[in-house]
Amino acid sequence: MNAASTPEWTKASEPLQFAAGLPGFEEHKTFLLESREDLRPFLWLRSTIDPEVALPVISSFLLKTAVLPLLTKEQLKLIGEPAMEHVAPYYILRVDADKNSITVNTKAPLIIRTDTGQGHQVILDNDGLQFDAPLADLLPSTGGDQS
Amino acid sequence: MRVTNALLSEQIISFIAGNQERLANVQRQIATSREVSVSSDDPVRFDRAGRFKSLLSKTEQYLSNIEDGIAWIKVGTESLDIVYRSLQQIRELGLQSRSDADPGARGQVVSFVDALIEEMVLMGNTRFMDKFIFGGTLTKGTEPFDFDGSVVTYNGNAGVLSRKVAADTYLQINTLGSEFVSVFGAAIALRDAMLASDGPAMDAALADIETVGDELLNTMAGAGSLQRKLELTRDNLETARVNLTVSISQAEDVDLTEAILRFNARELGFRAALESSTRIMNISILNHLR
Repeated sequence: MNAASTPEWTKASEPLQFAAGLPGFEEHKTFLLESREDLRPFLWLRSTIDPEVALPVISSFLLKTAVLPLLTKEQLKLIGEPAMEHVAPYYILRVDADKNSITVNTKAPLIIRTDTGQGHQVILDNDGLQFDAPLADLLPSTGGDQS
Repeated sequence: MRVTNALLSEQIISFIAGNQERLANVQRQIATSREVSVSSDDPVRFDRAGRFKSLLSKTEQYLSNIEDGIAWIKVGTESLDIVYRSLQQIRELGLQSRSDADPGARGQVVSFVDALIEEMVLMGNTRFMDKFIFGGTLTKGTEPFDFDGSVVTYNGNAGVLSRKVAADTYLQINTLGSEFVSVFGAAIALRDAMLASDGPAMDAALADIETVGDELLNTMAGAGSLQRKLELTRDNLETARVNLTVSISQAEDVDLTEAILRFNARELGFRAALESSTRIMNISILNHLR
């Protein structure tokens, strides 16, 4: 795709506050979700202090996964104990260029509180989850299980 | 303007050289799948990728330290479990012996108790990666426990062994032999009381075994807690490892967005399902977050 035809990045959220940063990026506290028409439903979680720190993410609602039932009270406290309808879980994606595959970190989703913009990357206590689950295995066939 | 052959030739050589450089650059990107592989490509991004790599390298070192620590603790817990089970066997033999009036039978039981004490001492001297695990920081040379037939002596120290799991965080991995050396004394006291057919002494030793058994369980729970702490730290570091790896790809890879574009093109059904599920749930994440 040449530069002229590449769609623009657009802001998809107000600033999101990650009080603890992200593991590996503890000093990055504020992020924005950005989208690009041709990349949807994938979004980019971009640091406001260093825009080059940008992680591709996807909403867990769109995959055959269930994050909300696995969240503990302590984990919800990290974003101010919101009502469940205000919790939006996202997974960070990794592209393995050598294997030409995309994997999803289902073990450590981001949880974002949609009414306040508070966020935290939590680690779920479930042996069935993986740091690198193949995205292809999580695709819903007819809409998928929703969490 | 008159163009001399020399000037023309110089321009052609310069053009070819420039092209070759560009071609080499493209070939390097193709060969390595990396957009930024030398600092002159983009010094800022190269520096950023370098910092991420350095963090990743440290994270991987911490993960390796943790795996080593967890293995150390697991070996220790297995050994302590055997010590505990041996102690319980000794207690049961003592209870049976207490109600058995036959001195000949008691002699056989005492031999068995002796063998179990030997087994416990052997477990106390367990090694991992050729190091004693219960001797504190005295991991080489003299065994932590020495049994001369009548007394078990602890030769270790109270030194804590730890593993570095973050820039300024160390987590303990060892259980000290001094925390459970009392189990040997209680077992030997029971054996001696059985040998002497001393009923009251046997009762006292049996009660003591119960107490040290509970203390041993506490020690094992402490080891389990250390292991849990290491596992939680490992999960956090593993998450950091993934985040950093993604960011290194973001800084270096030519085809991060390309891969996702390819995925979107291939998975048309996914996008259709997405639109349908969004409608069904009457939810738009983007709207929520705006």
